Amino acid sequence: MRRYGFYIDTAHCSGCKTCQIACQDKNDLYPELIWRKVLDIEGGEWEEDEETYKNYPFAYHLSISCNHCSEPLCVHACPTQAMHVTDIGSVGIDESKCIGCGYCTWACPYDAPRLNKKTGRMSKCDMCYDKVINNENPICVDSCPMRALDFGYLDDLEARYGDKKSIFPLVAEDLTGPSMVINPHRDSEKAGEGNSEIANREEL
Amino acid sequence: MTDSKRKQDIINRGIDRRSFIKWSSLLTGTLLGPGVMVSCDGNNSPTASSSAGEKIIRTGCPAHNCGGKCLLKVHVKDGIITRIETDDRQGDSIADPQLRACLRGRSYRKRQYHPDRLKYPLLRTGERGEAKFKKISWDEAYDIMHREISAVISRYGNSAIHVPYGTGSYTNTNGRWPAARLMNMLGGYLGYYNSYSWACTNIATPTMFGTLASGNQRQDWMNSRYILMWGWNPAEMKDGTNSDYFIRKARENGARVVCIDPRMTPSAVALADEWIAIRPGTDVAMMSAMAWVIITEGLEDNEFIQKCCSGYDSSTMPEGFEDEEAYKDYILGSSDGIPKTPEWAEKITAVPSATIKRIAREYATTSPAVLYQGYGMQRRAYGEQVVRAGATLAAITGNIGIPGGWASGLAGQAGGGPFWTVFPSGKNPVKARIPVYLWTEAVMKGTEMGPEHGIRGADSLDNNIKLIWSVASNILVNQHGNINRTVEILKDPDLLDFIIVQDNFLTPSAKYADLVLPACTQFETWGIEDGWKYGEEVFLTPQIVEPPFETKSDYSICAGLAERFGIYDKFTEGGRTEKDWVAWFVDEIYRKTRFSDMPPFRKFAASNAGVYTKPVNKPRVAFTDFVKDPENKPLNTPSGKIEIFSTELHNAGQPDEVPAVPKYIREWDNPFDEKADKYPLQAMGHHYNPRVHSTHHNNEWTMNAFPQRVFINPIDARNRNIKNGDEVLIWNERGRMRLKCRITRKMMPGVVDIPQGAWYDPDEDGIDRGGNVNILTSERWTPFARGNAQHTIMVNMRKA
Amino acid sequence: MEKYNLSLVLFTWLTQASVGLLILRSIYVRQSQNDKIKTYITGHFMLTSAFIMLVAGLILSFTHLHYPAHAYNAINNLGSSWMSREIIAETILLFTVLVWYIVNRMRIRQIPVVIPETIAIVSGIVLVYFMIRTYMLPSIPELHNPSFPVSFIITPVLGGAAFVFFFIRKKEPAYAERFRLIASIAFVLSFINHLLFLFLSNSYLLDSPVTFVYIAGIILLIVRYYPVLKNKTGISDVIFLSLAIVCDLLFRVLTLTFTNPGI
Repeated sequence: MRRYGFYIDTAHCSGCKTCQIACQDKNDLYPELIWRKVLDIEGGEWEEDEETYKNYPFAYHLSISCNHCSEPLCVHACPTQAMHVTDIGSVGIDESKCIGCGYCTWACPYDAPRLNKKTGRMSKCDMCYDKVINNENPICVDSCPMRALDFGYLDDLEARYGDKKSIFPLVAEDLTGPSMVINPHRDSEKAGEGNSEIANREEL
Repeated sequence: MTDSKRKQDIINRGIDRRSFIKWSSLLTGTLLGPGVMVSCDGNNSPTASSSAGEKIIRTGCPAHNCGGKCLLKVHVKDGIITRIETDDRQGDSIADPQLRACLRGRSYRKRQYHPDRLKYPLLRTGERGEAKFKKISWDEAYDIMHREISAVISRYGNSAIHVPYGTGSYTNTNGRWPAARLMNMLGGYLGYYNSYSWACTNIATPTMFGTLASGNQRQDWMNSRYILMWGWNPAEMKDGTNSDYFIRKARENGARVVCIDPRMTPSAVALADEWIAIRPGTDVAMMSAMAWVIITEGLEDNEFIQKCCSGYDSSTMPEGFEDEEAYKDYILGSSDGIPKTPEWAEKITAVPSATIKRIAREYATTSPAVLYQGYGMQRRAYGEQVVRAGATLAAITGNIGIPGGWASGLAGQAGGGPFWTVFPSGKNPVKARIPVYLWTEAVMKGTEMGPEHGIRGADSLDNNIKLIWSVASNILVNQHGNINRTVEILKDPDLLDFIIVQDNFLTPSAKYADLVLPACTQFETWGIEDGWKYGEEVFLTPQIVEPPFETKSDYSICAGLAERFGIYDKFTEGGRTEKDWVAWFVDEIYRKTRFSDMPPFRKFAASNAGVYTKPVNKPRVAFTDFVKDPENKPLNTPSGKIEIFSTELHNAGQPDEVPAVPKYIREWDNPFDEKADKYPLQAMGHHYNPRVHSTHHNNEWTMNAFPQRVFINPIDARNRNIKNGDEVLIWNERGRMRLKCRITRKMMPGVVDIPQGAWYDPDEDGIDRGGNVNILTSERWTPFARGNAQHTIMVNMRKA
Repeated sequence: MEKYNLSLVLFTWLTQASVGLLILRSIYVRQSQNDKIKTYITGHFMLTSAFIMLVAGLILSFTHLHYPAHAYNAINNLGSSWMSREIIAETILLFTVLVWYIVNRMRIRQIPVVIPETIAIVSGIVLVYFMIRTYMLPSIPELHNPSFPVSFIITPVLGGAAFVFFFIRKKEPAYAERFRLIASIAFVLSFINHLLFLFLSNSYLLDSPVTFVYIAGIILLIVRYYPVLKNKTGISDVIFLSLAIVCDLLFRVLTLTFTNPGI
């Protein structure tokens, strides 16, 4: 089966979180329940040089959600089989089985599964299953004012955008086989070394 | 429908029992979403509504003067909005791009269905500002308004009434326009000119070009090879839907993009090849140094200067001013002895001189080039200068009137842009107008104000302002400089007889009102608006849901009051509803002026398109005709040329503060003086992603995504032993605030950022806990435009 | 997002200490020099304690479920989920300990005690292994380092030996010393493992407040084995071993507090 995937253009993502809000609106998520989130990565240093600065830091944004991995650790880890691979290859949650143990969030290196405090069950991006089976894009993709997100068959995306799947702070892709392609921001290379960090953890 | 029935319908729309019941259930529910919204019917499904019975309506985003205008696809079921999507028209070309809404539009349900929506007219029972009100009926409200307005008119005259600036809602039938129309029919009110957004550029741009339409259509950026985003952050504050996207496309087309800003903005991150941190308020120093490099290295476009510019050097000075200081004299220092070298500028701007030289050379030699000026830097002390200095750089490098170039200045769209307003508010019989930022002065000592305060239309004011009728505006408290001062003025019953605030929420301004009127949102009535500053489009915004409780549209409120004054028929042109007006705007204005191809109203509305767009295949370029033939197609300036030396400014007679050529003038609050020992940090208040000014501050979705924080550089934080997430106290001579901090490398050292628009929320000690930067800002105005200089502030900070 | 849950910390620790207690109890009842009745009574107390600890751990583990009504689903995924396997092993252990307890208490001679005893001990060891596998997630480097499984092995020894010591220190002081020694060695290993953990997670020694508690424990240990006090099993041993248990517990809190690196 051909896998679907997301394309995430970190070079042009302005971190505006329209994708996050569009997702919350479609799925009626309460404010703290965030399925697609946007990381602010910061790195480098301000180096003072008398009146001026020798060096500036750098920053970029990374919009990330469930990557509907080919080796979904969450599915392997889930004790109840609530976390499962759907017929379109996305990873879904069967609420009738979920016990809300949160183990899937431990297993997931992308922190995609989130506890829905109102239902006591885990929740996460369902790739807009209802839209995808109708040949539409997930809601986040078409929301992006910068056109920095795309969606389609993963092999098509890889042919169009390359096959990079990991930049700081994401784990190496061989861990779970995420169904996504990243266009790296010019400064993402620098972020691997040194004191880079996620600067907006409180917003995630 | 009989006339009186129709009248009742126009005036009383909104008081609808069905929607009342729906709303009660909505507000007592947990606001989870549509499933919960209908839970009063016994349906407890937690999932989103199914598509059965769902309508999809395309409309313009309420926008609230965000700087853009986008298309929304609103899903409605059982009279409740269940989802908001955006433009999905096929194509998405540069000529006719999709108008995709940002997070503010997408999150609108959290504002629309906020439990704090005003529901009934309220009359003050406590002191002004105490927020103690009692619910009254519309009848009572109209009686009170009629009584108070009549009393002020008879006691002082119409010029004692002010309908202030406000952009919280304007889709023509909404916002302040109907109130302005009604007041004009009642004998007028004290008007204003200028805005809080761009007072300085509004005044300074015409001194340069004789017009505000100094901008090309944005599609022309695809022709640029170099783009300087100077203090300009389209990715966050928009400045035209798709401006950020167009910059991306221009860059993909080969333009190099450089961002100059004290803050590493989203635009610097996502749109620029390079970011340069500059100390706030020192932009003109860098621009002057760039001019020094350009002039001394012979990179200026002499042919263009000779042909099109006035006042560059002694050979181009206007007649009668040959002995005055020309721009070149100032730059080279031949008049004041200070050559404006990059080394001179480095100490002021904190930009390395090598960088200044490089950027100057790049800008002057990579033709055509754009120098786009953001508006933040002109909301500062001497904000007039930066507008003129930027435009001067464009002029001396010959980037004006050519495809891919950019003249700078306010940059209204060449050849006609959006109308902003088509609602006929009529002629104001009161001729006197004040600069918008000086309304507090007009309250306190209006009769003492004259031309020196920028009064236009009259030599002086007949009255102090005695009655304020504020519609969709939060400038009374929240958005005006120096809140502690403003609220003292508002509290004083001897100064203001009566304050009326008309809004969706009990805003900080509404808390100071005597009478609060509940307006409906733009989803709840008809309206129309064209694209913001740019764009060739018009949005139809139909009524999508019923106004809840006793809310009414701004137009309907005014129609009701007009009836009390006995001018209902005149005000409504014989009973026009909001929809009738919109039909009239489409058929009689838009179709007869900008867009003859636009479908007639009936067809347009029936099509559910939501927007009419005209593709821009050949973008218009400002000043093309002038540049080709300056002799026969002169500019509307005294010299007919681009006035680097402005005779108008020279005649103002304040050479130190209003120089005739653009100069760097040290701001009144700055990091260089002794005062900086006490208040060492510059504070800025940028336009923040989750809000439009103060609108959406209570939107849980956007504000959870972007909480209100003071953003601090790690060096400044370390020096004060502040840790990320700490509460900090920020203060200056005007006020104090306490706010959580975010330590971020995106701020330059010495500058803190408190995003503007947060709702003022003082504790018992008068310390603002809401994070409103205006507790620290000043009411002082700029010397020539009399514009707001709210960004020029120095503060101190410590761990709370 | 920070992931840390006190109920799970206590669950893992109590369950592992309980397994250790069961194993060491079996050694004790076979080697005790005391008279048989007394040994039987002491052994039964230990069995009861182990059972209570297991039940307490289980109840605690339930409290972290946000939808416990579906808890029966937790064994659905034996095919790939170590957590399902852990829960099965836990269930078997609990059940056999219950049988063991009844057989022991009722002195049912038809069922040799050694049968539930053996099953319980084997399932206990398997359970500890499953626990290690459950928590050693490749997505969480903090847990995917050797100090983590080692701590799951040290805890049964430290907890088990300390509890046996508490039960017999007055009845068989001389024999109790051996368990004190086992617990002391386990404590030293726990300390070393803690240092290893800090080293592997690139933390400095003093980054962890647990370090100070460990140092206090080590001081007590040295004092305890100082010749003057040697051979006396008194209240100072109780204090020392209690502190050792606290150290190990705090270390568990530390290891189970981690941040997802990806996000």
